[in-house]
Amino acid sequence: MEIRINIKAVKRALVLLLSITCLSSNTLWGQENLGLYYFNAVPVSARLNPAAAFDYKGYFGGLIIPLSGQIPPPLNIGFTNNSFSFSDIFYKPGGVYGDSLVLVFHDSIQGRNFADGLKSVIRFDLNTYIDLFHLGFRTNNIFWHFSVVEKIEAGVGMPRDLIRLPLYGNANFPDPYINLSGFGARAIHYREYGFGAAIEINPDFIIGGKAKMLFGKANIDMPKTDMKWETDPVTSNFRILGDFDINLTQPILDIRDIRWDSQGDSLVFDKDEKDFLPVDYMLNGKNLGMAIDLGVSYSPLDKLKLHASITDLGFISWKKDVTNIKAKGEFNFEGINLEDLLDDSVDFGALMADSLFRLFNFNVSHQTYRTTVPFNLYLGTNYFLTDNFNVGVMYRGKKWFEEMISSLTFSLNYNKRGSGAVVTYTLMPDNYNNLGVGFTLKLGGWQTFFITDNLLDAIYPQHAREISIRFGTNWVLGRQKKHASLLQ
Amino acid sequence: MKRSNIILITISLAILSLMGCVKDYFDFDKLSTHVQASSRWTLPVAYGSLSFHDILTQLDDTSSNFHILSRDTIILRLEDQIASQTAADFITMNDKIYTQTFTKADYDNAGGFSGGNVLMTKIDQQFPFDAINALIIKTALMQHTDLTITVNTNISHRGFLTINFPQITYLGTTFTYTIELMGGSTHIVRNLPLENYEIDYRYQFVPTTKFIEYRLTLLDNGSGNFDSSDQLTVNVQMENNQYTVLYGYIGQINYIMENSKIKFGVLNSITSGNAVFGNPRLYVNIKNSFGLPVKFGFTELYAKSVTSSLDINITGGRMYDTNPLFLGAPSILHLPNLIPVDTVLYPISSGNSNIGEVLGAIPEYISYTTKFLANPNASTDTSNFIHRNSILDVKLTMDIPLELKTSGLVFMDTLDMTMDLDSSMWNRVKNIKLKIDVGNGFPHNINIQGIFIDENNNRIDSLFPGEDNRLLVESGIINPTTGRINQQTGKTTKTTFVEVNGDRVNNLRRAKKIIIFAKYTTTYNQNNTQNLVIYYENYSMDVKITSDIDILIDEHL
Repeated sequence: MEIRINIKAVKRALVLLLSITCLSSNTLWGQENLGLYYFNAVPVSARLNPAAAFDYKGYFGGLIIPLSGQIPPPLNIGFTNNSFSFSDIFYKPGGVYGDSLVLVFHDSIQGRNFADGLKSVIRFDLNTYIDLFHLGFRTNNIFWHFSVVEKIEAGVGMPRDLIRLPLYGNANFPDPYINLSGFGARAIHYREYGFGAAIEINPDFIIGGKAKMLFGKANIDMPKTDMKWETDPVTSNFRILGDFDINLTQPILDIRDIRWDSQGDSLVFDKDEKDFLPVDYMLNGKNLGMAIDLGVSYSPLDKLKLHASITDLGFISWKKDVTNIKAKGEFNFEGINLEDLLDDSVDFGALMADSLFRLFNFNVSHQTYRTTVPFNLYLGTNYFLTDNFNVGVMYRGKKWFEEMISSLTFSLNYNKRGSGAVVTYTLMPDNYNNLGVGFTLKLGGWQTFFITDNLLDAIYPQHAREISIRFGTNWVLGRQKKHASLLQ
Repeated sequence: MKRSNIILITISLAILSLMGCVKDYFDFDKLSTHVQASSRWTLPVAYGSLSFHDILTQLDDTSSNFHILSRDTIILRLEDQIASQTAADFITMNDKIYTQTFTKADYDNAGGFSGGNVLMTKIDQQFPFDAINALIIKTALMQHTDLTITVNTNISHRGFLTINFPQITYLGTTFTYTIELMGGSTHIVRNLPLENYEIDYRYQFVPTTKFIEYRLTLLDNGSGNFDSSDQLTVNVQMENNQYTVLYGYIGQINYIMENSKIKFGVLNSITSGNAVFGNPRLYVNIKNSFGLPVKFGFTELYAKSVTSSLDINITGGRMYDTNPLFLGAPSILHLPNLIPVDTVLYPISSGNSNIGEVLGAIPEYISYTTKFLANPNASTDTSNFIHRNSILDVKLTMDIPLELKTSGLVFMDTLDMTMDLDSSMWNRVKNIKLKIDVGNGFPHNINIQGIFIDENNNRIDSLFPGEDNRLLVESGIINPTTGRINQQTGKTTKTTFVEVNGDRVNNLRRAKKIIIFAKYTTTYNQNNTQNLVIYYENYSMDVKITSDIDILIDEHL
């Protein structure tokens, strides 16, 4: 087999990659790679649509593949902030501030406007997928896929009103009550073993599916994080309500109970440290789950294709190393009782602090619970300008934190037997600066690729809010004969 | 140069140039740390419903003798124990020992053995417990005595020793005890607990009266003659003597109690003003179960005013020298069931004394000294008795029904206060607005002022600046028919705002105490006079204090 290396193409790719890497030295990059949907030169595009078909006969790759699996490692890193970017907090207003950088809180009005513009719950989400191994091959009209992926997703939430509260005070608060719900975190670490296939029913219709076994490793789930502070407009009395449900799966601590001590001024955690064995943790198979990916591609017209897919529709049942914590309480404060005030025996601050401190009553148990995996819904269409060059549009809805996060991506796609490039533009809620790019570098069967949905965030990191990056290396083998139904 | 290379270089240069703009955002050397935030906070400070009981309890600093009798209307009762005497405190019965020795002289005086025996006698004439506080006993009903007879002898003859107590009646008969002597050296002890016996003291001063008669009879049974060294000694001990009733004449006993004071702790908080109370009463309650006449009276009775510091004599009292009281005593006929006789010194009230004016002058205390004289007639023919459970209990009571009128009674109380906030936090407080909601269910107008003082008791600021007194709330609405304030619908409500800003905030920081002045004033009627108003037990005052605090942060971090 003859291998031709386009040296010039290599140089161009390296310069561009280095430029972006330098710019990204101070920022975290991460976003789900929406540009991957029509980027079928890259085998992992099948993760978004199991009905995707490829113009090569097979592929393999993954972290465990010697040398090519580590340089670079197959990673998908995403980071999302749903409310603000760096430049929303630090910026140069000019005017009397001249060349100075200011905090958004330098002015009370600006500070309030900033806080009011935040989402009701501010979330920071991080995800990383590590392809341990993946393999695909074609037999007749079926393209088989097999993959083992390590998935870690985490997010923390903070209520917006926590920022608004010191800016307004509870007397001037713009809402009837101070909503402190949304405090919390979610995290999940699991390993996914997937086996699927794309079946060409006829040249215009392909269906695909993938069944996945999920093995949960660790989890933090907070299905309920309700907290609110009400101030009576007439009496100024406080009422603070809290209701939290926390489910934990972790191999470090055995939490038996959480309670107040006999004096009621200290929280006591009855716990034991477990013997943490990393190998046992990584091989833990007790927290089982399953998920499916389903997809379909249909070509109603020549050169036009419609696509629909749903991925990661599933759940994990957590049984091992489980702790459930329920914390509920209500705090009512009317001030000091006058009888105590006349006794000179009351410390107002201590009274409030003590009462607020003991707001919650805790209940600890160890019951099995279930979490759903955040699923994704894709709907799209692309039009082939040439055999290898198409334009597409795709809607993605992601279920996360009880929300459906939507986006719309426009793309320009080039795919040819493992070589390809893509340029995307994605519209997301309150974020319209997502210009993405992706490309592969192919030398014979060796393919390395890079894709990001947020190129501008590399150039303007101060505006970055949703960043994602994916790269890796595959071995792409064979060449599929031209077939109308498989043309992308 | 190829076109594609030109494009690539152009793009790279554009990117690199843009990095300069990006760098501006991350040039933290130019970062201004100025922050500004203006917020308003509202919080509840205090709440409650104060009854008059709560207020008086807070004001009272004596606590030990102050009660509130709530039987719908409120009566303040102050009590003081003048005297509490029991019979045990008064009478103690000492132990008594009698000793007699029979010797050769007694043998010879008896004529020696004749007819096979000889009888020797001795007597003791002194009565036991014969001098107790000058008590002249006529009859003693004794509850218990431990009687011990000890005999030591070396007489070789057999015989009998008979000890006769002619004045002691035990189990209905004269008490006699006989000990048989078996001859030779002997030590004999007999323990004889006597219960419920009687000693007749009527003839104790008659020369021939014997209390104990000793009769020693020896038998001539061939033991030889009575030697000069022979002797018999007998001890009679009367110990642990407890009486039931002592009849007799106790004598004339003068008893002056130490000066005492009944303190009006609750009124000590009054700094000025006066009042007219409807029906205050001062009376003495005496329980006496000593069977003897007692003369009682005050030797001193006056009050000291809080507001004027003057002493005011209280008239109408039973003074010892001019119109003493003779206490009732139980009758001897009621024994053995002892029933104390209650005597209530007729109350000193507004109708028969100046006690109303005294109270209106706001006394700090009432000072009194009392004197008792037992058997004032000093006649030995007087029959007294003292039962072991006899008591004399004398209590002074002052009842003040809360029915009064006043043109301005000012109470004062000092409360500690520390605004324990970090100084940086205090600098950010721009304004404090207190909202005081009061619902007055009391029948008086109430004006309140507060004075903030520092650790050296220097005045810093006042709660209502620029005004000595500020009317806070008027009296509750008294129903003309019932004479009462309906606590659900008749409370007078008033909302008052106190604003503290600027320098006053700094003053509040330095304050260590606040002195509260509360002025009570009775409402004037349409005739421009004041009626007496009654306080009922269910009256209360509702208070709710909230605060709004404005905080401004305008500084560099």
